[in-house]
Amino acid sequence: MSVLACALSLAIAIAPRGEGDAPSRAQPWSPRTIELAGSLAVQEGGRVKPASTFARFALLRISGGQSLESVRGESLSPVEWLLDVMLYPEDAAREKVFLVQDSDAVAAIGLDVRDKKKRDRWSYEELQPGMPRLFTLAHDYDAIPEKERGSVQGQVVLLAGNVMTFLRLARELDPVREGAAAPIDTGVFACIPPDVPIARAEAWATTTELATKAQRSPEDTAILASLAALVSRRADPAAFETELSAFSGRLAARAHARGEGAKIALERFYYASHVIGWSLAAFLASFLVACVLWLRPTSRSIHAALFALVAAGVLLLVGAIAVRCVIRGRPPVSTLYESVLFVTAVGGILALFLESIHRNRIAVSAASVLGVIGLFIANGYETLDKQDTMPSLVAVLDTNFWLATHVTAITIGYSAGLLAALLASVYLVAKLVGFRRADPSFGRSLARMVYGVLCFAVIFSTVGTILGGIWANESWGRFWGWDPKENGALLIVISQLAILHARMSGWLREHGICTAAALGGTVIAFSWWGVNLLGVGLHSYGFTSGVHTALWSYYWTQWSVVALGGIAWRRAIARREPVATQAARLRQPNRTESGQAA
Amino acid sequence: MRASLERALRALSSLRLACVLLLFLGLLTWLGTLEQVTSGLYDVQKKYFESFVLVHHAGPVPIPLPGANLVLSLLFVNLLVGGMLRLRKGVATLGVLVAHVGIAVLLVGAFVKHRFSDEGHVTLYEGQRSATFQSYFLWEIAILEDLGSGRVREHLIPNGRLEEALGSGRVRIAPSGLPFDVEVSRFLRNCAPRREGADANAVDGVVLEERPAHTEAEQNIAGVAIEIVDEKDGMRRQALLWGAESRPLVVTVAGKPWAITLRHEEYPMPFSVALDRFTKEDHPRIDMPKSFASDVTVTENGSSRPVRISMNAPLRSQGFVVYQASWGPAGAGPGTPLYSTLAVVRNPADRLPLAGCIVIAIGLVAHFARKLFRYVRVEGRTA
Amino acid sequence: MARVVHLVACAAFVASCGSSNDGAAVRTVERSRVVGDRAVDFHRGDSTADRFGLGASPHGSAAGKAPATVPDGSSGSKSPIAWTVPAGWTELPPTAMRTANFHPGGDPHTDCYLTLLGGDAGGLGANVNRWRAQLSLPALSPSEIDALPRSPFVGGDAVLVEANGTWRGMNGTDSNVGWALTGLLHVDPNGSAFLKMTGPADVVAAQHDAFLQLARSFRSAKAEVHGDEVRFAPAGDDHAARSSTGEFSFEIPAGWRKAPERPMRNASFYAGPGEDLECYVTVFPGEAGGILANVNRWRGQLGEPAIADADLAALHRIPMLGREAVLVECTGKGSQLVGAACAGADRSVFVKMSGPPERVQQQRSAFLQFCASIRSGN
Repeated sequence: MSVLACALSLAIAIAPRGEGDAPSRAQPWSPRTIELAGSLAVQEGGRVKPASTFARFALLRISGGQSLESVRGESLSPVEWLLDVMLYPEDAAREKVFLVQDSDAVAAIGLDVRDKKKRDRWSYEELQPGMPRLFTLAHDYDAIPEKERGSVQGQVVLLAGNVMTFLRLARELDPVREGAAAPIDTGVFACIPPDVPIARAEAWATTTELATKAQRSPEDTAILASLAALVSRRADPAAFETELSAFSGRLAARAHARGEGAKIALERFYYASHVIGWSLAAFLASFLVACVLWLRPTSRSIHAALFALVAAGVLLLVGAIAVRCVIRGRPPVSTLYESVLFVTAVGGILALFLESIHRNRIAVSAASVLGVIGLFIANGYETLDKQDTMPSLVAVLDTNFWLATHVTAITIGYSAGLLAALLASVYLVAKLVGFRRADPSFGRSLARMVYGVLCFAVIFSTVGTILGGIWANESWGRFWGWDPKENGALLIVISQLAILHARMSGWLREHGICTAAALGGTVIAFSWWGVNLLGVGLHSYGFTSGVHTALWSYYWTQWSVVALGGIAWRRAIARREPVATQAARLRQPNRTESGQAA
Repeated sequence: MRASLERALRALSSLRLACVLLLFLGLLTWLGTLEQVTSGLYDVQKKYFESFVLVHHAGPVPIPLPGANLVLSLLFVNLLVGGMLRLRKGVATLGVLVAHVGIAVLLVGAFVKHRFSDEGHVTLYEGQRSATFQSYFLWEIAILEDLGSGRVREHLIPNGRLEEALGSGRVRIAPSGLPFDVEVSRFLRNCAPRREGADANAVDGVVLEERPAHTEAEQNIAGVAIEIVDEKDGMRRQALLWGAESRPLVVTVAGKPWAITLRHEEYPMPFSVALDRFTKEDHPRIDMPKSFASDVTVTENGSSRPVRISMNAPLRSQGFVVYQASWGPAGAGPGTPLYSTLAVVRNPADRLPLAGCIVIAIGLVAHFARKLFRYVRVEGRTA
Repeated sequence: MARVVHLVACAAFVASCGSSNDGAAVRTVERSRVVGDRAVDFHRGDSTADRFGLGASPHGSAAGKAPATVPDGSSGSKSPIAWTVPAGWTELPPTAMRTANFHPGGDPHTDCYLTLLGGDAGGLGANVNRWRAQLSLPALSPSEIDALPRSPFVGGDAVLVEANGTWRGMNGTDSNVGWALTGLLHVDPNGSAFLKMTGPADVVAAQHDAFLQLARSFRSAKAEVHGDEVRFAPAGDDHAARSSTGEFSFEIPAGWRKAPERPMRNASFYAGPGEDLECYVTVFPGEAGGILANVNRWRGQLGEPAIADADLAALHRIPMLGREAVLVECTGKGSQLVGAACAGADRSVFVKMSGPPERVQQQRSAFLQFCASIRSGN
């Protein structure tokens, strides 16, 4: 009820000021202003980060994109959009920024949707008449457990949350605006570090909190005055820039005195350099080169180029992971997103290692494919999840020792298992198109590669899984609790051990190992992503619907490959049969009947 | 005779048996994971992972399967005979042998834990002290005898006895040294009391109504009907006990008062734990705990010492391990006193998994490093 | 000889037990131990209901204290607004958005309810056309809306909307042909009221007069009925600072300040100067585990032992929200608590103030006055 009341008061307060008496932004924000604003440190989601990172994910959540096509035809970056929302809320209210996946959600709040597409972007101004109903419905639907919500209900809750974020940002500077009512609610992020050591107060203050603080230091008052000046000089670019520079200096000094904000520049660099994007570009280029290589298999220079491009992609990715480790002060993997980057990097390194031994083009091509798919998944996940990919961690994960040992080991296990599955799939498909006739040793060496990677995988999966048990024993008091994520890890270990034992016992040969390894890929996919979709247990991190589709596509791909391999196997047997018969005939030329009977 | 023994031994130690067992274990793990979507972990664990045989229902089709207990026992034998005793010994198999020893250590650890451990929790507000901990799932009837000067003798009827009184079962308990017997019937795993005079099972105008069991078994509140049978005159007294009752039932038999109560099974610890301070820290400005920790005073053999128990840093003493498990009450505002829930496990095999893991890691690395070396050499020659 | 008889009797008894009880297995139990730190009262004979926290029996002393929740004819004991239920209508419990809620003529498919919203709720036109859209009807132009008839409602004239069509429901997912809507809209920037009846056309037509009669009957629950008595937004110039949380309104005692909003709390205050004494209101839907459990939770927070139903029945009662609330006072751990708890079938309301004992004592009467001032509704 209180959220509803608060949302209504926010919504009603912005409404009368949208009538056109307020001036619009006359010119684009200057590059220096964008740079200064983006580099401001803010505290949000439990950590201190650059305002640009906050803006990036806020805009992604609200609009589903990383930039905004404004109604005036400009292309706004997240920071420019954030500046607009906070300093020109009336302008921002006209931007079509709220992405609604299904217009039924807007119809449900009583608005006319006839002029809009089913999936379309709405401006706050368009949504405004439906506000009371939006928050009423969202309040009711929010009471429904997330899993039981219908699609429209989910959309309504999502939209209400996004509108709330927008309104809170638009009113963040109200305490220093003339004539604005005092806001009831504090902001989305906090940008003012307290002037006491971090041990005494960890939380930063919002504008409202600073304005309503009982005892303000002179410095606090100066900050408030600086904020007020920013608001009043918004239309004068030069004065605004100067003021923003002074303001940012003031805040940075305070944060620095507390030992915070030291990694802001590095994080700015991480996002500005688009290192993941460049890595993906390298992998994409390598993929094209790989295609050419398979058309001209003997060209050494193309082979070298392919190797170099894949190596470049892997190096960029390793660099990105390293920078993330430094920013977070954590081992490489502590979130699902990071596990994707890490699996891709490790897979690439393994494949390059194999290639350097074998030089048969397969491993390096596989690395190229793995890199492209891996980074597409990483980007897709970031877009679907819409949350900061460097979030705060829950208490149990606050241990660099176990993150570095258990999580890293198990993720290397995933990586090796998936690489084995990919190579095995190549084997099965190649067998169908008939590599044997061309080069009989090709299949054998490919199968040996699969086996080698599996051996590598089994070490890390087994040790990683047991380490997980030991960690659980340290933190929850039981070594093994049959939790879905634990079971997933166990399934990987069991499947890989079963393959190795079946090979020893002679049950599985080349083809069998490749079939089993290809199926092993689905076991890894189940353990890595599938169990999170079950929504039970201690390891369930939240649902992302797109993951479901991707996961099932992978399952079906692997099953189809195995089925195709099955056809190839049957064909190979059928081919071998007549040969045997012929041989028999040749040996016993006068007993044709019995030979045919055989 | 010798030949058939030899054949049986070979079958038991075969690699193929290992494969089949691993596949069964994988199947059970998979089914047990999927079933957790609909049933609680406690039931799934009992059905798939702590049983010898079970029937899995794939839609309408019942499929009998070996339980994980059976599969793991066979796997242990297979490992012992095939993977260790009959394994060809040599430099080539040394790593495998070591890894197998490690897995055997793990399995032994699992068995010891399964058979000989107690687990539960102790929940304390700041300033409180306890020398016992409570089970999450198991119930017991405690008959308390007043020994005077604040001392009490507890006579306990454990969960196993109560389970015999599930459904229409009825069991008569003759606690030694008491002037009465207790007859237990209508044990309900989860129930709630309701005023009802007319019901046949009503006692004192109240019935215990069965409720569907929670998927989280620790939320169940058990109830039971008892009859107290006076040894001397055979007089019977009916009563109901309920897991969430606020006070025990008090009866007078042989001129002496006895308090009887149904509670989660309680186990003594060889030391007492007093909670001095509980600290919970959130990440700034969001509702996500960053860390929580209990500062406790442990009193053991007459001497006390302060210990800090936090996530990932338990207290170990005399075969008992005390962990920071959770805290409450949920949604408490600032200033509200919090309680700390410490999980307590008595597990004689607590350290075996770590030992097993190290041994396995050594074995696997040795084995596969050797293989890798040969592989690189061979492939390098052919390439 | 006597001993022999005794043995025989015992044997016979055991035999009879065995036969009557389907042979209950006899087990001995050896587990026993001596503990020193248990506080057990061996001299208390409680009834089973007492031990299980079922409360005193319906014939016991607490019986007269149960609030009468079912009103006859004129309802609204929990709300600042009162009304007269038309004959034959079924009254339903109010919900978050439905201050008054009925099935007209007792027909389960027909709904009628009163909604109060702060502000103009998007304006008259938007709401009229939203209703029309729910009946699959085209929107009206502003001039057509101006021409709509008026009818008395909440102390003034309100716009009357009557329409027949295919009911698409709130989410546009239903489809009922031959439905009708009759509604009244009082739209005002200071607060709006909507009374709306929807259902099969024949039922709506038959209940039309009853609907208008209901609309006319809305009045303040206070004795005096003024035209502007039904107030939807806090008036700034009130002599006592009357404030609201949307679901409740209350008078903030002198010297108290609103504290920042917190999850789980419907309203929080700093009682008196400083921030060491907090008072807050929490509302849960339903019984929230019952009064006893909540009182014992409070006591537990101060390290005080739990009390039983009999003790609860002995506690003081104060008026709150038109019912009786239990007043809980306890001291422990250098902190004192005053709390009022009242539970109903639809929701439970808890008001609690805790802090240093001397401060709590200073603010105790303000607390009681605050509890008495709480009203439901906007």
